[in-house]
Amino acid sequence: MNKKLIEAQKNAEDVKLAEMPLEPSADFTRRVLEACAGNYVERKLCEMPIEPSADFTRNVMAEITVEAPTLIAFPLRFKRAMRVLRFSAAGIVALASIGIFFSFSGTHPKNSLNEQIASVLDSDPELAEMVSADDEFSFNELLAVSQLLTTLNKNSEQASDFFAYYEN
Amino acid sequence: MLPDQINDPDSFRMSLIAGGDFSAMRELVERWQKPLINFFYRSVNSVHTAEDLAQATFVKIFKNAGTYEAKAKFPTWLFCVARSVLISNFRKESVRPIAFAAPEDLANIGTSGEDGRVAELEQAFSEAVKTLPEKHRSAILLLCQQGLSYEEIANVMDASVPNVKTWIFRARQVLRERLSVFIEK
Repeated sequence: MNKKLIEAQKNAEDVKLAEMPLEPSADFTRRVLEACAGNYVERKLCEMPIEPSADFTRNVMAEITVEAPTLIAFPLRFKRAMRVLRFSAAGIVALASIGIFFSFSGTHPKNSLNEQIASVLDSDPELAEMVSADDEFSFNELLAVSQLLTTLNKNSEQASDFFAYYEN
Repeated sequence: MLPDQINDPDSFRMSLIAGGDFSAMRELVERWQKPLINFFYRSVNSVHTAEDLAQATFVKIFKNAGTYEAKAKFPTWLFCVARSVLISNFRKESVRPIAFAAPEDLANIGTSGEDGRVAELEQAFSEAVKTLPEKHRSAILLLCQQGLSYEEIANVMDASVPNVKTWIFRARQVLRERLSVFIEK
């Protein structure tokens, strides 16, 4: 009795399990394909399928050498110097004093130039404050401004000597 | 002074390049050539043109090194220059991609065997990307291919973050739709 009941119940379950009561929605296929396409799109968008040609770097460097041979010689330094010149007259005088300081300092070991500038800044808190107040201010710019001032002031012989040394 | 330049090797390279250091420029070219070429390739679908545009970008970077300010991550500036080169190329050559390509056009790309089918899918994808509006395409490439954040993309494209998100959403939507039509066929 029990066995028959259990068997009947199992059959009923099998029939139920075999049923497919739901029909896919009309756009089911489209949504699956879109999901697949979306997956493919995301993968492909991250790819970098092209390897640069072997001579790409050489070509670019050749182009740069041809097109901009004197680009960084004077104009750029002049532009940077002019940007620094916007600070103040007091600042300019202070900067000029750096060049004069170096010109009187006897020998000018090129590799300790930054140390010498740091030393000047240490001894002049006002100048140091002005320098630290501007994010764009660098040692190179200090030198560029000093050089510009030297160019403007033909009488500053010692400063000219110093910058002649620095350039060489 | 210039804390970003100390922390970011590319910004530091830019300061050297501004002083006329060619070896720093060479390093920069070697480091960024592949991302740049691939960014352009997805826009113009031509390896040759992509390399030409990448070269023009590097030359422009060299010429403008003195104006570079390390206020944002270097790629933000790099792709800003790259995008201006791309747009200027579209204008100059009149090869601006058409604004819309019908999905049927992509689906009608010929079929011949399974290998051919994969190649055609790639081609359909490339065509679909190329025919996106420039802003949508650049935004989604900068996000997915170049790994920039939404904020960085907004800086590159001089747009708001919500605009960038909208462009990327629409680009994804259009690409999915066009590719699914192709797959279905």
